[in-house]
Amino acid sequence: MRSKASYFSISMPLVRENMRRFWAIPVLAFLVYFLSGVFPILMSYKDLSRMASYIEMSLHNMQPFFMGAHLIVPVITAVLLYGYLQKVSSVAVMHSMPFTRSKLFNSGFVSGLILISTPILMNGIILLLLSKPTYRQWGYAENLTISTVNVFSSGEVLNWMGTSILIVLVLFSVAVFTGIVTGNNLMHLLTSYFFIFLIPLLYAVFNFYFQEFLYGFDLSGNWLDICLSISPYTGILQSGGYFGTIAVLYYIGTILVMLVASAILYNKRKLERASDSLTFGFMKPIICYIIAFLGMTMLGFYFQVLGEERLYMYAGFAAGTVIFFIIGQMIVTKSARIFNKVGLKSFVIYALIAVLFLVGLNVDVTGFEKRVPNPQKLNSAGVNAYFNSIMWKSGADREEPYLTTPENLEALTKFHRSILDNRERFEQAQRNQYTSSLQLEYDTTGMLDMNRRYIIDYRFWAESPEMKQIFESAEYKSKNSFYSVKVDAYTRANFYGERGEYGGNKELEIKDSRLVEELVSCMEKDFRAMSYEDLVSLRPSYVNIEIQYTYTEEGVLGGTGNTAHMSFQVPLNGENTIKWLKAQGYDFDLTADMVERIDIYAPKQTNLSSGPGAAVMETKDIGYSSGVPMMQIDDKVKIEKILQNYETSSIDYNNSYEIRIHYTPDMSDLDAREYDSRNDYYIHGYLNQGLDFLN
Amino acid sequence: MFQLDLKSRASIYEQIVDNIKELIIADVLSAEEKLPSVRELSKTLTVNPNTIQKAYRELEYQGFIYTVSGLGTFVSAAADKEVDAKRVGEVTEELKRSIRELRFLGLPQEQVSMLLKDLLEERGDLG
Amino acid sequence: MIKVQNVDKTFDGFQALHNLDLNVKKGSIYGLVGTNGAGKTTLIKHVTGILKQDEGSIFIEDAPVYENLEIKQRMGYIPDDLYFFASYNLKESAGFYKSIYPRWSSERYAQMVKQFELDEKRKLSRFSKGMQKQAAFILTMSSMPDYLILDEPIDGLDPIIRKLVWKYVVEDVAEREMTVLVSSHNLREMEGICDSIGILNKGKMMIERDLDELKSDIHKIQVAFRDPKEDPYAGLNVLHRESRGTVDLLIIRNRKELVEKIISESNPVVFDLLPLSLEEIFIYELGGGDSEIEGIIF
Repeated sequence: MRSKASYFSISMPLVRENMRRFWAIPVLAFLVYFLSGVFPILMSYKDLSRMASYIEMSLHNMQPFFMGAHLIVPVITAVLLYGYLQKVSSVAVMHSMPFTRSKLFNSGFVSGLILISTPILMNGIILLLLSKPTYRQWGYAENLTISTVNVFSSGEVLNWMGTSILIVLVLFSVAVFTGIVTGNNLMHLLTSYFFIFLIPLLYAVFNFYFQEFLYGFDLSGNWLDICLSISPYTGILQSGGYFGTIAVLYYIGTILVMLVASAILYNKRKLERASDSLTFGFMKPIICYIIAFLGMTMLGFYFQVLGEERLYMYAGFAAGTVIFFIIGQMIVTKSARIFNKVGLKSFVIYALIAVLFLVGLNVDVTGFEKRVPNPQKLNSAGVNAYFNSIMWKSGADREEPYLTTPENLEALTKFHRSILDNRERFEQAQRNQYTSSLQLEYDTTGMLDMNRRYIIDYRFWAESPEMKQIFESAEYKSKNSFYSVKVDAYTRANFYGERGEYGGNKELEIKDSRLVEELVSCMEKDFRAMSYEDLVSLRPSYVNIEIQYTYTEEGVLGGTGNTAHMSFQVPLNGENTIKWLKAQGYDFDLTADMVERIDIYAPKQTNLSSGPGAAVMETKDIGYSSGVPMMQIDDKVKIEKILQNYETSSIDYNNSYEIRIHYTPDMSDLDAREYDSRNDYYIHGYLNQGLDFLN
Repeated sequence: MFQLDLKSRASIYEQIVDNIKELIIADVLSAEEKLPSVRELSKTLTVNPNTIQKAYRELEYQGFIYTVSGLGTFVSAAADKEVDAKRVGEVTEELKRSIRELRFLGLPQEQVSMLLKDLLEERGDLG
Repeated sequence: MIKVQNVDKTFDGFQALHNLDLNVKKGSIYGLVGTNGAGKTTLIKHVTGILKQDEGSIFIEDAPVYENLEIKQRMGYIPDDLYFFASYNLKESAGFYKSIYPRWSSERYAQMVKQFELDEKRKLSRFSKGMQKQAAFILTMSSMPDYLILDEPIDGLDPIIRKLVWKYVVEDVAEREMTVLVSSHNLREMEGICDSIGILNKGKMMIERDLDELKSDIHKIQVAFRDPKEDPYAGLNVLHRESRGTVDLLIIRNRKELVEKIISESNPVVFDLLPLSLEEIFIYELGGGDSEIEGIIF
């Protein structure tokens, strides 16, 4: 009868011998860590501030030697410790000795733990002893308080030790697992790295499929973060050197799962399979299918790049499946003779799975595409579109102002539904329309949040009654209010724009805190008064204001004196602001008198685009002609009409007229001007409603 | 004590039995003399002790030796031996064959007779 | 004692062992013989607790051997394919063996090293094959096993060393009733040292007998009659018969006495009755038909 204790038994003699045989590994690892980490510190120990960046990088495991050691040492150690399983001679001798399988397994594992952790621990201790305050500075170097962080505190060193050990342990436990299921050292080595990077890879691959096939799938956002954190090795890259609690628990869980699975499989392993590729039958289709799947994906998406239609991609899938299935089958059976019934059967099964997968995606088996959340089951939701937005952005790190009121949530879901109802319109939208991606984020009361991303055109956005409701709602106004941020002091205001003389006052900057405060209150009033149509209007702004302010970051040492910005594109009907500006001597009007002439270009004539998301022409329409305008207006009445009508983006490239407003500005601020070949200045614009209004 | 012929057709067990018998018959091993133990003999000859064991048992069965538990194995006195009819039969056959061969080789009958008589006289002390 | 019962083992579709029985008595030296690929090494790997059988049982001293530490501590195994920790020399290996085999004897180890004249400090990987075998032998015997399992042990050893090896084996069998299971192709040598034989063919145990009994059951006869009788061999189990002129060569499976009795009744002029050597028995049992053995045995 096996007692529970026997599952945990270790043979000390074996562990001892493993230490004796493989001591070179920890020594080498120690040297790598020491020479690339500690040694430079010792060299500059008198004045470490120069090394601050490097120390921070090292302790966050972002330097190549540490990363290399973390990647190589655990896998090599596993290959060495369990290599005896891979040869007929050694496996016989070791298993004829008085050890149970559990003992052999445990001893190897414990030996590995010791071998790979020791160099990290030792270096960590040395670093702890050496640690002293070393500050790296960050923040704008202007007349602001410089924020500093101590990169060489004992906390940082302990964090390095903890994260490093976690990384190498995860890699080691995966490598032990692959050692048990493979039959020779080469396969062991290759499969270890395969598995280490496999899950993030598969995660990425699946995401690409979803993006390709599922309407509304949102590939941006934190999928990359999740993808990289699956493997701690890559996780360290995206987390900047720290692991969150959940990540730590997940990694520990991985180690335990691998450990238990390895222990169980070690007991079941058929020792006579030493020198085979794989020692467990069930692994053969798994690995073969993964290889086939990856190959299929690769060729499918490669072909898709070549040709627009889905047909290319499916051809790529088919070709990739066949080629890589053959390769995979050869690898797992370690033979070229795979064209037999067994191989065929395996292929058919895989093909079936692949077809089901693709069909499932195509028909949307999970109802992903049609799903719209129940507004009552939402905690909050957010919407983001990238049309020339008049919404202000802040430089301060604050929470996204999500929508939470039931009315807004309901409106948003209704809007979502209307997008789905209009899917054809968007999917067949001609490329030459003004479109933007729209992101919807839902924080549901349930476990899984929902994210969607659609491409919609401007008109749909501007004419949406739900959006109107949301953007004119009290919630939206108060959350995006200029006063929704805690400001310590306003430090300055800057003005940017394309229009107008700058009056008599050449200074485009106000530094007087009090004045800025007044300006902000005007901005607020105007903002509050804006209708949805005002918010989404493509009409040019009177001027763009950027306010800089200071704030205090809660709970952070040295958190005062942080700077941030808020901006406002002043609408042409922003009475309060405009009045205040004029009172201060700023005049950003653009009047017909100032304009010499306006050139109007026929649609599709020029290849210039303006701003993000603006109408992009069909490639076949590129005519590199730009030069000759279709008409030139110098009649002041007409000019005035145009000035009252023009917009900053073209909505439909085929139908909008690009205009250039030539005027003589004040030369003082040269950045805001564009130059054409004749060295004169003009403002870009578009007439989206046709030219009838001119007559 | 004696050499084993590994090439011989006779198994080792037979050789041991025969050899010891020879030695006893030739009085090289006298009555009541202690024989080496199974262990000792097997080590000396590099022979499987089970084989030695078997040989000793056979010799004991044939009456050439006897074992006293705790003390060892000893040569039997001549008189203690029982007549082994089977063995007598075997040896008789061998003798017959040998004599026939001698005749075949051309040795005249008188000489064969003489030979037998000499032999018997030689071992006359056996009674 | 070693008791293998009804063991089956299949490797990826190939059945290596069929319903196999094997019995080794305590203190016996059991020779396992068979053609190449008959399953000797596989069987041995089961007895040493390396492989696990599909069906059947493998008991040593009435306890299953698989994962049985107590038995394995008293078992020594020398495989055909040797393995030592890379870069270790004999001394270091001895240190390891000492730590895992509780009955390790340092005196014996020292004595054997001296007697075999091996350099303790030299890396085992540098030894010749034969010397490696000797080293393995020293390590195994110094752990004073109760059960010694040898797979082709004397393959590649010179006669002097071979003699030395058997000397130690016999000594332990004699002194400590060590049980030995040897597999070898060298049937001459097996014949000289084993008391029991198991003949394996295609994963099945064909014959398992005490060696002497095996040999006493079957005989090679060379006989000639002056006036041959009708059937001089009636009542005998004649397995094979060849004629060369007037001389008949036969293999008969009967007890020696019966053969002698029946043949003598026909008054042969030539009558040689010889036991077959183990090699001949092997060839006869496994050689297949009459044609194969004609000319080999006689």
